[in-house]
Amino acid sequence: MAFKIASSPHLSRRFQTSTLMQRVLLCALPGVAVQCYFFGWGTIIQLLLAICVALFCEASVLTLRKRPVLATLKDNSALLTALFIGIAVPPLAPWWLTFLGAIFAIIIVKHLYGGLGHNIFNPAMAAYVMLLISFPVQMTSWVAPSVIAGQPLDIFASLQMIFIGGSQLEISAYKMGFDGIAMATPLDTLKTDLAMGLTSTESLTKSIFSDGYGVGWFWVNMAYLAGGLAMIKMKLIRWHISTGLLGALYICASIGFILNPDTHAGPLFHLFSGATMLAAFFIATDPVTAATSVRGRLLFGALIGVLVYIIRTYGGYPDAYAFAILLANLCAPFIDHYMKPRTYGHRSRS
Amino acid sequence: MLTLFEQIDKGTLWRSTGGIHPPERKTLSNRTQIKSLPLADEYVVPLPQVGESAILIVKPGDYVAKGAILTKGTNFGHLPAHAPTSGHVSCIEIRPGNHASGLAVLSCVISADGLDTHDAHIHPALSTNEVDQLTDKQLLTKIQQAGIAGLGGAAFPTHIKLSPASDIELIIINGIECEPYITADDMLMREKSDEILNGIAIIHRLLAPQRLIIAIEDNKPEAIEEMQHALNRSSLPKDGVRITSIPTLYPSGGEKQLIQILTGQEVPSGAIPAQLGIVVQNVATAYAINQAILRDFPLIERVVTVTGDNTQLAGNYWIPIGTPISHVLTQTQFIGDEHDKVIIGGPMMGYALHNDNAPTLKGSNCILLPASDELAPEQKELPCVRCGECAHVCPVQLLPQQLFWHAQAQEYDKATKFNLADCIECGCCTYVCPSEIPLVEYYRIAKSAIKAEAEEKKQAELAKQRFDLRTQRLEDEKRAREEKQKASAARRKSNMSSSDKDAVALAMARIKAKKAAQKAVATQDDTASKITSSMPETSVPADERQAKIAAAIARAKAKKAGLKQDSADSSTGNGSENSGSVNAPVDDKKARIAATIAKAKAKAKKAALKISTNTEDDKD
Repeated sequence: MAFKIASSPHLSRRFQTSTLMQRVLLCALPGVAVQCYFFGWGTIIQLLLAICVALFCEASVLTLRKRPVLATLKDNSALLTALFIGIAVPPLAPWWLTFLGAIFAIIIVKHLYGGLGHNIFNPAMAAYVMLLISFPVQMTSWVAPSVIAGQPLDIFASLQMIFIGGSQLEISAYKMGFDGIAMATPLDTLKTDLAMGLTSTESLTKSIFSDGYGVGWFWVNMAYLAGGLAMIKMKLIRWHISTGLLGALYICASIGFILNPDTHAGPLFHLFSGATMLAAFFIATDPVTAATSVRGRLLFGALIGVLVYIIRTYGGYPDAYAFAILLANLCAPFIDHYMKPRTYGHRSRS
Repeated sequence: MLTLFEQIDKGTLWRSTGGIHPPERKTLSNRTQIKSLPLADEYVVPLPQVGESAILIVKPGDYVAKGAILTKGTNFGHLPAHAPTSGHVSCIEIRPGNHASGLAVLSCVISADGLDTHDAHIHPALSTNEVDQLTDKQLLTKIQQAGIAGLGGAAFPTHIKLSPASDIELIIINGIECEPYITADDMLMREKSDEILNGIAIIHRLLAPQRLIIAIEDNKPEAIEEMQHALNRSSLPKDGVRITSIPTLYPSGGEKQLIQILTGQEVPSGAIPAQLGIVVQNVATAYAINQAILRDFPLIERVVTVTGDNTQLAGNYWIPIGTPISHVLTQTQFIGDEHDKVIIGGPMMGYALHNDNAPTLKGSNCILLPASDELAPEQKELPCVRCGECAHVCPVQLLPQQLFWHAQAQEYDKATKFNLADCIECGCCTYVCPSEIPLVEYYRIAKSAIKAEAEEKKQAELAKQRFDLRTQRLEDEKRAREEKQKASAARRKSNMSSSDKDAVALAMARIKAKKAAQKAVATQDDTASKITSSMPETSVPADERQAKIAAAIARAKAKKAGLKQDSADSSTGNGSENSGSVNAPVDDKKARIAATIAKAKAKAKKAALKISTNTEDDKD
């Protein structure tokens, strides 16, 4: 009798990319929930908008490229990109920001480079940087945490703000003074204050820093940290990139703080503000654009940590993950090339 | 700082990199004792060495007893083939082989007589004293004559491994059996521990190592216990021999991985363990050595695990080597069809067999018969997302995703730089790949392409060498020819110069002859007729022109003379033989006489010259 033939191994872990992405999404949910709690309905609206646009773009490009549409959509990679765009744009930013960002991420950054597995840059971060450079005002007008703003915007007000009301003038006005809806992020505030000659201690007495880290942001970071640790536990990601990133950021911030506490925020402030935990566990660990070997990943993470600290402290932008990650993405092939592990039976790298 | 041996005695284990924990599924086959199957009608013994290092000593129609030798070796590496049962050689022909490629091999087909009569050499066991009296050489010869090859899978001739060039300090007896499903070694250790220990004692005696470790994975507690009891009963030195239980992890049973776990050392790339003073032998090989030395029982059967959801009688069987797989399938109630796989070996490294006509071999430790949904369902290959899980589980610390990238792009030089050659094809990377990429298959293709490329390169190199040699030879020949030509030219030159002189002499002789003739004519007063008749005589081709010129001069003179004669005698002559325009002299008789005299003179001169010259043709 003749039988079916196949190449070994015949066993498989049966754990596919789609499941992996799905679980990453689930692990990000606590962070998203906390973000919604502090910053209102805007986050969810942006998220849904980004997901719709991203999936539509993915499907269209796949059709154009004559690739299986449904099977590929099921890998959940576009969903994950959309999630990161949705939570990265300011919650009450005008709809077209998210719209443009999602289109740019999926079509230009992902598919024009060859689709899943072939993109050099993290699509969500490249889109974020594109938006930040093109529309700096809209992109830096973050919404005030509900605990400070008092009455948060309800869902209809948020929808109105995003789809109708969010004109540029209005948002600029919000940014000028704290009026209950929009305000600068804590990192932005600190940066402005330091530039104005205040010490970091003085700046941190402001109401936005009432819990020491920036209202809301501490808990958002904690939630992403919890999700990240869960991912490591479930072996969805390995610990190297996150550890490298957080370690490098902590060390840099400690050095800065020890040298001049007046003009530098402390290491813990750096770890628990802005997008630190989100980036460390969910974005920098995007395998496609990161280094792959163990030492390479530690270095890749550390590179992001150092870049973030430098840009946060000396650069023109309050937060820096998108820039730092894109720069590290550029270095990933180089890192991989020089960080090959020593193969069994070989003395040293040659 | 402890020495390596002290650490081994302490039971220290080192960490091996990578590895996976696939579902073991060993209980499917290790719950029952090892059984035997009814005899098959025919057995197919592959004879791959015949024609290379062995000759056949049986022919179709011959009777062979169980254990009779079928081939005779012609070199040291040869392993004889044996008849697995008694019967007649029905034919010797090309039959489907038991190999992933499905390539056919020359095989000896034996139709069983059903009696299973032993060869006369096979005897009840020798005592240990009798074994002690055998020399090492006798032991090795017995092992070779029994056809013992490594039963762990690679089937390398054991007598070669047991006669290493350098000292062996450590022997590792491999009872790991890390592949899922397979329990052949497990069951053998449980049932034949004393025999295995006897075999180990023989290995120990042959190699005289400092230490010997019997390594068994900790998922086989019964085997460990049995072996420990057997070790306590055996004559092996208790201080240098130990049983070490190691944590279950695939692929710890790989030779290189096992050495790393037990000693912390790595076998250098491209080298063999003997270079570290280590030899690894499988437990089943030790059992076969026991059989060969103590009973002269050749390696004609082995324990094979038949398992999977497609067999209703999963378990371990003593299966004669050469049993058609189809017989095993029938006897163990195979319930699959052509859409299912028949895997020889385990699910990680075994190969799917295309045809069940193939026989079992010495290295076939398992026949896995999975139901269609039992192992991995067939999945579509997705793009690599560089998650790096493959690198994490790789036991030799390669970067499988980079290898895949280069293998797919057919950038084989780059794949080689990423140490593709060190891949042991254990399949861990493919097992964990979330994109379902058949990585190992890519590596196999790349490896064979690199091999083919190297072969091509070698051929090209050979061709180039041949071409260079040919060019060299042609040049040498050309030079030799030129030298020869130069030499002969020089010789000829010297010859030529002498013949030139001769020619000059000849010409002068002719001139003299002419002058003499003219004199004669002058004396006879009849020039023209004399010249004209002497003309055809100077027929030497080299002198033709000169002769013609001379003739022309002569004619002119003759004309003048004729004119003179005309004016003197006022008589006109007829046209001569040569030129009608020239008036022939009237006085024919006189002229003829003169011509004859001149001719005779010239002839005499020429004859004299010819003696001293070689060839006049050379001049032109």
